Amino acid sequence: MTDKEKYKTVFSHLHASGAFSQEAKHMNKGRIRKSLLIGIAAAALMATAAGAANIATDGAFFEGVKLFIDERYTVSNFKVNNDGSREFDAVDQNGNDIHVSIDSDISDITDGNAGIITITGDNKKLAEEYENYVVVNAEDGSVIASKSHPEKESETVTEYENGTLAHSYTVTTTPNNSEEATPAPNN
Amino acid sequence: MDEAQFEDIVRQYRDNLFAIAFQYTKNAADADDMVQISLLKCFKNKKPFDSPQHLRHWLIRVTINECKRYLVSPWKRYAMPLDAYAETLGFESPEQSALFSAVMALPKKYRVPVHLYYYEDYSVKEVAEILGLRETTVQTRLLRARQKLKQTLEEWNDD
Repeated sequence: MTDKEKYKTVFSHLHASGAFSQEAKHMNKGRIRKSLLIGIAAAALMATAAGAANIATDGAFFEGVKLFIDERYTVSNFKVNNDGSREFDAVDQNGNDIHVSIDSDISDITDGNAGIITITGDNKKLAEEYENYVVVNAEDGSVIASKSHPEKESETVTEYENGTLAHSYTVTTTPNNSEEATPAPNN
Repeated sequence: MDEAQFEDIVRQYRDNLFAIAFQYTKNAADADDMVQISLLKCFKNKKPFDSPQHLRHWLIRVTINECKRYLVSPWKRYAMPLDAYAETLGFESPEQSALFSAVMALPKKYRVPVHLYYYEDYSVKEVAEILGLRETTVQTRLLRARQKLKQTLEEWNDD
């Protein structure tokens, strides 16, 4: 059985509830499901505050990422995708052409996940060399830690608060690929 | 569109749309709502569709847009825990259950391209078009998703 067949077998177990057509037609005649009505009302009440929070978080995240990128690359062809992720072409310090995708969106940040920067080069070796990530504070969007080479045992990284360099840390990569962040001696 | 045509569309597409919406919402009640809103839009739609493929593509795009709107909304329904919901799906083997859990544990940005590619049989180019991403981004996300799934399932096998 191929991977596709396995996947389809598993997800074909998902079924919508059976009353769709009748309910959809009732909605068309002005009868809106109570759950949707409550959702619409709640969304309307909270739209302003939530929108402001999301914009603030999103902006802080990408501001932190921009600082990280600006230190390392010459950026061109910046593009914002429909899902909120960002992409651009860049040239590294050695003159290599690379493609960068900032692989995160608002929902990932508010879920508390780290934002990830994916960098691909013209070939597999270059792509591996430029594997990067940025760990983002889920509350205010500030950059907590970043790492630019997965094969190095440790690397000094920087932390930004509100766009200003705040601390320097050493990230140590342990054999099972988990990371420990400890303050560098001179900070 | 008459009611008979609409019934056919509902019968043909609701489970596929539900599976896509579930990748976003991770709960059945909200996924049902997303599909219902999409079907209502289809029912109200005045423009004819060129082909069944056009209709399918349109329904998937509308469902995804509704799901994105849902995700930025402050309103979230109480959801049955995913493990409990998985037990109601009647998987035939622990392997099927493990694959379901592993996919649902992926970040959304990986789950959705994986689902469109593996379940809906869209090409990388088509997935990129539907999600408004570059092809290289979709390829990267599929690659990362496969790596994560492989690792998760290997750990599951070791246990």
